[in-house]
Amino acid sequence: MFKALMKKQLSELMALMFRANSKRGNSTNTAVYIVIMVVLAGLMAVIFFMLSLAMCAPLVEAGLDWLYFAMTVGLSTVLGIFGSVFSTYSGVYEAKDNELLLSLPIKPGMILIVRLLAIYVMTFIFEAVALVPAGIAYMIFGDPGVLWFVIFPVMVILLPMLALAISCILGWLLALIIPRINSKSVKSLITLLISVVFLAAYFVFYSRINTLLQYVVTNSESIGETVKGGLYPLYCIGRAAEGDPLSFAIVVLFVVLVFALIYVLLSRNFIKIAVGKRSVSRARYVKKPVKAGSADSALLKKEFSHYISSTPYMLNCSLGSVLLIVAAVALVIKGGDIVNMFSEIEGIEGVMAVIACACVAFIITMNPITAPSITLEGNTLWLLQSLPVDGKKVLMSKIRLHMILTAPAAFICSVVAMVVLRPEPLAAVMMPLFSVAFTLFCASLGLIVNLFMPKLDWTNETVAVKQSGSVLVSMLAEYVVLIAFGVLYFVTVAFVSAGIFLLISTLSVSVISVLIIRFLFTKGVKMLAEL
Amino acid sequence: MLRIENLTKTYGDKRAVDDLSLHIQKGEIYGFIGHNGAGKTTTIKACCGILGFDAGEIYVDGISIKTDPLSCKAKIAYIPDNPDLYDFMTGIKYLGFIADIFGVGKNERNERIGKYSDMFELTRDLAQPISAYSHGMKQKLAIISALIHDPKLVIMDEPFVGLDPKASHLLKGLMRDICLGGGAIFFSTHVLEVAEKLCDKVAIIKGGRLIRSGTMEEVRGDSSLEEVFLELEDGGSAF
Repeated sequence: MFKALMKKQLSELMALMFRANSKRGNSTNTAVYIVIMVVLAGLMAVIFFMLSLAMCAPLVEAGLDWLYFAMTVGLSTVLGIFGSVFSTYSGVYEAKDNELLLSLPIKPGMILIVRLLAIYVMTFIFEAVALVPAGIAYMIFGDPGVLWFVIFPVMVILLPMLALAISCILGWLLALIIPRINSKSVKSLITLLISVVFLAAYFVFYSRINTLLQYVVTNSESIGETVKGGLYPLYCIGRAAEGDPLSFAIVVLFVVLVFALIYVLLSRNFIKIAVGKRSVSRARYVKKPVKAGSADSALLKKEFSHYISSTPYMLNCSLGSVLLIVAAVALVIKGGDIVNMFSEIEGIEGVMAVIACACVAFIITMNPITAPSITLEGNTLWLLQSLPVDGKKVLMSKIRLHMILTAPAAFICSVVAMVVLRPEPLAAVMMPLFSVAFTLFCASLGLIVNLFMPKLDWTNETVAVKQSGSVLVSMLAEYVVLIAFGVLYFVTVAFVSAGIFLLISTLSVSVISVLIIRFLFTKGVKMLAEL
Repeated sequence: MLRIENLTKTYGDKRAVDDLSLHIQKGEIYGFIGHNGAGKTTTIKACCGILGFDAGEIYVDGISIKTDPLSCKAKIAYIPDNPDLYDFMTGIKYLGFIADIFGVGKNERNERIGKYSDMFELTRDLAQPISAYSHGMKQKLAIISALIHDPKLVIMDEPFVGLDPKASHLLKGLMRDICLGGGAIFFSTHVLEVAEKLCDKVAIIKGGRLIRSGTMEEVRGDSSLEEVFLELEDGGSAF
């Protein structure tokens, strides 16, 4: 039974990531997705390796190997929690097949453990990309004994259980609170807010790591004493990861006990949480005149309603807009300092204008709104197919939503960058235009990729958005385009001004976008009808 | 109102619908009967423009669904067997969305929403998100949305599944009213008693092929529809 359930859970995950779903019956290449995911994980690992290198040497030199591990484990655990908490909520408590599985002769505890195992795999990947580089850095700068080579790998496997246990508690809290909120939009906004605060804290910590490191090294003894006294579990984890067998034994016992306790608590309440009806105040409809509108506005409103009422959709596809605004504000405050830093270099304004555009474009890619939009139609696709509405309008409504939610923020950020950097007139004009053109490119590219790679039989929206192959492929394609532009600029920087380069880039992405939209309006409409 | 000519639809090697021809005229309630997997839903989806087909033609009020699907869809109302509606909308927003797509005027939509939601006792729940609706409530909402543009042809796939007895009764009355108003109804069902009492004409399909069709009297003769259906299912004599 366990094997069958596990097979179902994994096939659900694999099917969503690796297999397109349509009546056309075509399938996409599994190897491509695997390569994409390996590349992304590799990129994250490189970032953590650099961070670990910066932390390892000074702390090992100060004899604070355990503090190095306590910090890297802390970072990886936070990353693991962030990567799994919403998956825990939607995958364990909100899965569409909870009722089906609970109606079968399966113990609720087994359903829970299978779901948790699937999420453990995801948490493990998140933690491993941080912990493995930390271990490699330690091998370079530290002096690991033979025992360390046994203990550390076990720690890498064990610690995601701790993150998973914490995610379970947070997911449980979400499952208790979120259904009590009547408005789906408010739910999504609250979840988005929590995530943004979390990410902001993480980025602030990351950006100040050097200052923090300096502080830790300077005050290593007092910090060490404080952690030993007040945060003993963290000290123990640090010592265990360093290779101390006694601390390792304590950590193993601690993690297993915590996980077992959480598991027992959850399995006893699983049915109640997963399928129980919560008492919510029912809004009573009072008759009033209904406004009429056009089909175009109805489709756009429908897309917007879906966006704001779907927590995973909003959460995973809004970060770009938030960061663009944050970047604009940061530029207003710190822009002068940045300009002063490079003011001695002649002609730097042009290079900085191009770099600023690349940064804005990179943030724009974090709003992959169109990329999962067809997949998210799921079982309701029949509505769009049966209603007397042109497929062009349906596809265009998705692009319009993407533009409305991303282009204004991108435009504002580019204008602020333009004002701060004051490049040549042509570059100044092209900066905001490039950001808008690149947004259109991302919107149309995401849509066409999703049209080729739809997956309509998902069981929860988080999986449909977060683990969607179309999101991965479209984002990677956008990065490839950005890298190509970057290479091209540095090859031509000697004889092409920033303004001309941005003009060519803007025209290029605009032409590609128009070609994609033309394809969408012809073959794309047919493909949508045949899904 | 609906003319299906030599419709053929295949899935890989399997012929889901094989050379099917039917003609549903104005004022008729036409029942479509067959066992599971006989090709009823495939035929219905092809008539609604949801599913393409390999051969044949489908005309809605004289317009080909192949050449002008939007005009055909504008005349049709489709109610699927499993009403998967937009869970993220409230009932009233969903009705507004459908009315906007069909271009229903402000006065007409207000009148029809009021009339049908009162009739199906759904008015007070229209402010609720559809995700909070039961299967039957979703089915009622799908029916109300189908009637909002005053369709000429209503195509329904197992419309009575999930409806309470009162709503079933109301729907039967509405079906008759639509036909009296010059419209037509084409629906599939497994409930042979309902088909027998309600339909003017009936078609029986087996393995994608039409095995009998005509007026209720022609199809059942002196037997009951159930007896004829079971006999045809066992014997499978082609029409």
